[in-house]
Amino acid sequence: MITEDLEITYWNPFMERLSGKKSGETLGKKVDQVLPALERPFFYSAVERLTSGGNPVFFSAAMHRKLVSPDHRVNLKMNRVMLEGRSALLLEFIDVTNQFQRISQLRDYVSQLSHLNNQLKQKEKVIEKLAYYDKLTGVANRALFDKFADKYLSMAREHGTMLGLMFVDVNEFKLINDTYGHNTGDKVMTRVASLLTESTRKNDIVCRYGGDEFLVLLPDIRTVRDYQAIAERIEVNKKRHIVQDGYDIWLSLSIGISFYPDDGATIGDLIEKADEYMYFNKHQLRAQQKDMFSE
Amino acid sequence: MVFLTKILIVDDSKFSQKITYSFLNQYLKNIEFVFANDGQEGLEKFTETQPDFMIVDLLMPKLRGQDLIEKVKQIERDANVIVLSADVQNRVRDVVEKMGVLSFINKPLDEKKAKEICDIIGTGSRGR
Amino acid sequence: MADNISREDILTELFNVGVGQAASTLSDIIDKRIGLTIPNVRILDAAKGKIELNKYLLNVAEGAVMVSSISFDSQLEGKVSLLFPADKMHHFIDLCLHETRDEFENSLEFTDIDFDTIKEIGNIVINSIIGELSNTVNIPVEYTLPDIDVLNDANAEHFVDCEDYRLVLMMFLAFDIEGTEIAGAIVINMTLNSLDDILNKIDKLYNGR
Repeated sequence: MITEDLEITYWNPFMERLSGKKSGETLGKKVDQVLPALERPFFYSAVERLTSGGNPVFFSAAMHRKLVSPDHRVNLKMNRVMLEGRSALLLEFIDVTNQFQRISQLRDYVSQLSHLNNQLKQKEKVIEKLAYYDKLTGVANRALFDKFADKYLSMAREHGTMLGLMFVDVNEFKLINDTYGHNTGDKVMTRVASLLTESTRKNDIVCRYGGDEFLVLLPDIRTVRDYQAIAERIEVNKKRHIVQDGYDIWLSLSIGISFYPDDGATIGDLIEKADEYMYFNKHQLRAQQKDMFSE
Repeated sequence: MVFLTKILIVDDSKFSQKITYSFLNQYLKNIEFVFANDGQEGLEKFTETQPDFMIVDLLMPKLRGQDLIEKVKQIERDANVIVLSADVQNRVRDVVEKMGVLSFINKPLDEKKAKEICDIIGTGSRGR
Repeated sequence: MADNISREDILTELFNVGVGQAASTLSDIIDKRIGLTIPNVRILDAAKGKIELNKYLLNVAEGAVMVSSISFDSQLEGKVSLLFPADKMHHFIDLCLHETRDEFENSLEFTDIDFDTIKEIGNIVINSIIGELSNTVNIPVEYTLPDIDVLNDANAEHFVDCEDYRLVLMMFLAFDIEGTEIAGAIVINMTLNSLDDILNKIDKLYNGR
């Protein structure tokens, strides 16, 4: 309790515990000296208004930190009271440190939950990827291929465009595996997959169809030119040397291409046709090689 | 010959204008009062009538008190401006005082504050 | 000098001063500059008051409000409610507490701490406004600390009391803290007698000159 001039007239045991100052030290002193956080204009004008008007004042722990001590959060309620015919001011400090701790704990908890949730979402993405993408090369697997094949076929039908299907076979795959080991073989497949991806357009889907086979879906082909551009890019890399794991490896691709609607009306038909052409290409290449070696 | 001191009161509250007028009229003699209802009008009347003193409220529509004072000071650097405002935040006060006003008075106006203003004006007009 | 000064002019100026003081106190506490706009005071009969208040509730507060209210009944009789849009309150509280919350909190969920903060703000604003009114007319007014409520889908019915009070004073004000504007409304229910008392006193004070 204080007088209108801010002199402390009563300092209860709770205040002693809260502030660490004994009643003996504080009585008679000005409250803004004992509690420096109160040495502010808003406190003085509150005291003035309380003294003249008698209506209560409230200061919240949240807006006023360290009102009394740094480790406790307190609300302050101020009232005017009559004591022995004279008016005095009653300052009630209410400890709400628990509230703050509880809220802080809750916030931490929510934040943890949120973090976990994000992690779960990431994992979900990974699982999704596993379901639709080839683990080794990162390109689409058959499941994703089937999805897109249907979609692209419908689109081609609707818009009257062509859908191209490329069948790509890595000729030396078995040989590479036997000669250099499966590890190297895998890496080579991955490089072929990258090559195909780089040579094709954004909406084209490169899919690993088998151990050494890739299918490439080429939607929205309007003219042969569209396809030719892609073919040229791949052509550059069709037969070449690559260096993998320190080995100098000779690589060649057999490629067959079919088009909807000319070569078939279903994906099955297109794949069959493309496969045929691919074999044809393979034989061509073998014949070429024989010629080369016989020269 | 009687010299008139021209005082321009700029305030968007007619009531406040009236109170200011009442107080000042009680203590000062030979005053010509001019009134403006917002900052824009205040600027116009300032250039038109060239008052000796201006009493400016800060919270006004169209042109705020602060902006009015700035413009007035651009026209006449030594213009005599007294701020009479309900916006009594320290930060606001600091900004305005830096513009070079004669005084910053908190509303509401009472006897004591009115006398303060009159002293300022009195000294000024005696100097003429 | 125009003599057609309305009752609303007078009250506007009075509340102007009150709001200015409230802003000054708040500014001192939160250590930030608070931009003020001129509050616009209207004296309305209860029916018209409800219409105006419903407009605010619909357009500005979009239905959900946080309310601090007090009743006073000593010499002057009335009820004061300070309304803020609930969806802005979290941000307002953050600005006052120098905090930033980055989680998207449910607009209508407030902690005990939030309520205490609003209790303080409500107390400061109401204290300043009613205090200024009371001081000017020299009529003492007694009231307690405000009650804080969050109302979803608020309706003017809740705030305008037709039975006991026939007049409503409405004031729309806005605070601007660091670029964020909070538009609030203050609704004061008063008896005709109380309002008359106030205005008569003011008349006497200022027309004696």
